[in-house]
Amino acid sequence: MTAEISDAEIEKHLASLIGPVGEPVTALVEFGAVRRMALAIGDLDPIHFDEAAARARGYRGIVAPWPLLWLYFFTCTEYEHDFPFGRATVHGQDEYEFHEPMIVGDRITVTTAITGARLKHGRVGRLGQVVSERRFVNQDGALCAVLKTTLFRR
Amino acid sequence: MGAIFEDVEIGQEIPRLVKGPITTAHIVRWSAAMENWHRIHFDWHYATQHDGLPDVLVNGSWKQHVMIQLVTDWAGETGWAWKIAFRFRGMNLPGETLTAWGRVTGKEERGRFGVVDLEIGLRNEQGAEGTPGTARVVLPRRGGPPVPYPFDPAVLAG
Amino acid sequence: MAVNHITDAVRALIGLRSDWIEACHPVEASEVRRFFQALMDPNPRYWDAASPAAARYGGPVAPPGFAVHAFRRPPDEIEDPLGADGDPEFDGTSRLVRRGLPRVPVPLRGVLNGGYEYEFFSYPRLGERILCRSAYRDITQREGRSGPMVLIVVEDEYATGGEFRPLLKSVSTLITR
Repeated sequence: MTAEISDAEIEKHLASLIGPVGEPVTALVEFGAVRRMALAIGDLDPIHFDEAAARARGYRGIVAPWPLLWLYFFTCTEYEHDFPFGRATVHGQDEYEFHEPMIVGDRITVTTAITGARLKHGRVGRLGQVVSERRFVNQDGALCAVLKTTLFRR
Repeated sequence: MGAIFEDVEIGQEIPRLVKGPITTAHIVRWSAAMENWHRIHFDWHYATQHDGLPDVLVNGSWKQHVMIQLVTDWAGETGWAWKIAFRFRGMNLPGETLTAWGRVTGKEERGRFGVVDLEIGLRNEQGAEGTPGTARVVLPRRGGPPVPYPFDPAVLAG
Repeated sequence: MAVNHITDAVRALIGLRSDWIEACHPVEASEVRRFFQALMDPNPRYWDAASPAAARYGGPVAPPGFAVHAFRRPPDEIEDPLGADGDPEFDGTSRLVRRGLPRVPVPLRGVLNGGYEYEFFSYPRLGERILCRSAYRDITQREGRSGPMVLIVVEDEYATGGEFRPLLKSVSTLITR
């Protein structure tokens, strides 16, 4: 299938991935989306549904649980995991930075870039490692979070 | 443009709506949108071993909205899909392609508008009718005003 | 009739009507999107504020039957609907017929959806609250091939907005056996 492709060609392909992915996308933080995430992860802290409780704890409004970043991960950017080598792409690891909380009613702009892509040689053969970075910025320009996701291609 | 009362003939079929083939991914997408966790829709082992079903099932709630879409599409933005009724008679399984269909069974002038009765259903490729029903649609007359929105059945009186 | 499930306690529920219950939150764009995408109905009336439909209805709206499914788990409801604690028999569904109505005390586990009769009046717009009140219209027993079945006929009225604009009426039949 793709066994013939050389390491040099793979490295060239991976290098070509580095850079911005698509245009920035803006999404509204909806109460219902916060509600579904809070229920799905079993987080019944009232700051995720009760505005008065959230304000009493110093927040601007109802607070999104941080895993909600994944909703915008999946709905805001499209990029093809199309590699000219290997058979499977697996989710390897994540790194988060948390800054300004995301609040219901915020408009979050997600900017995506591939920041790293390299070829390694593991015990089971060639392993592509691709790091994408998403920056989540609210309507006031405040950085809410940075999510770095590493995918392995093998 | 929606249908016009004068153009409708008894026995006429309205445009069909074809969905499918329906996969388990379509079923899970609907279940997630509804937040319906009934295991017969996504847990093959539970559906077949515990409930004795042939496979996971296409959601009845999804099928009902396909029927509503069929009628709403035909009524368009100048008519009104007033009444829709159906029974869940047969089950539908992943792999099936479903065709929603409707046929005019009656028509009547009511005030400045027309009321059309339909027989509706949802068939698979084998022709099995799983969701038989009826619908009643209010249509504008040729050259007449659209059906007022929000719909109030009182407009049919005068 | 071997077992009569229509006890006095069941009969007392017939005709009982709930108060108006409000859905867990007003209509949101993303839940409407998930609904019409899962239905595979791309009609612009559900998303395009510039469409002729939006002019007629006052903006993008949710599909006609959307309100029927809008009464999902509120975020402050402690009881987890999946919380049968690993019971392998648990089918994933609540036995609560409607949020505003008491359960029907019938010891039958299986639930089938028998069918619906809908009457539509208007669409809910994005941002509008959805309300529902329900009544047990009838509860009867029939003998099926595999034993007794209890048919529960529920009448629902859905409305929206501060003015309680009618959305739809529904008469549905639940079959328990």
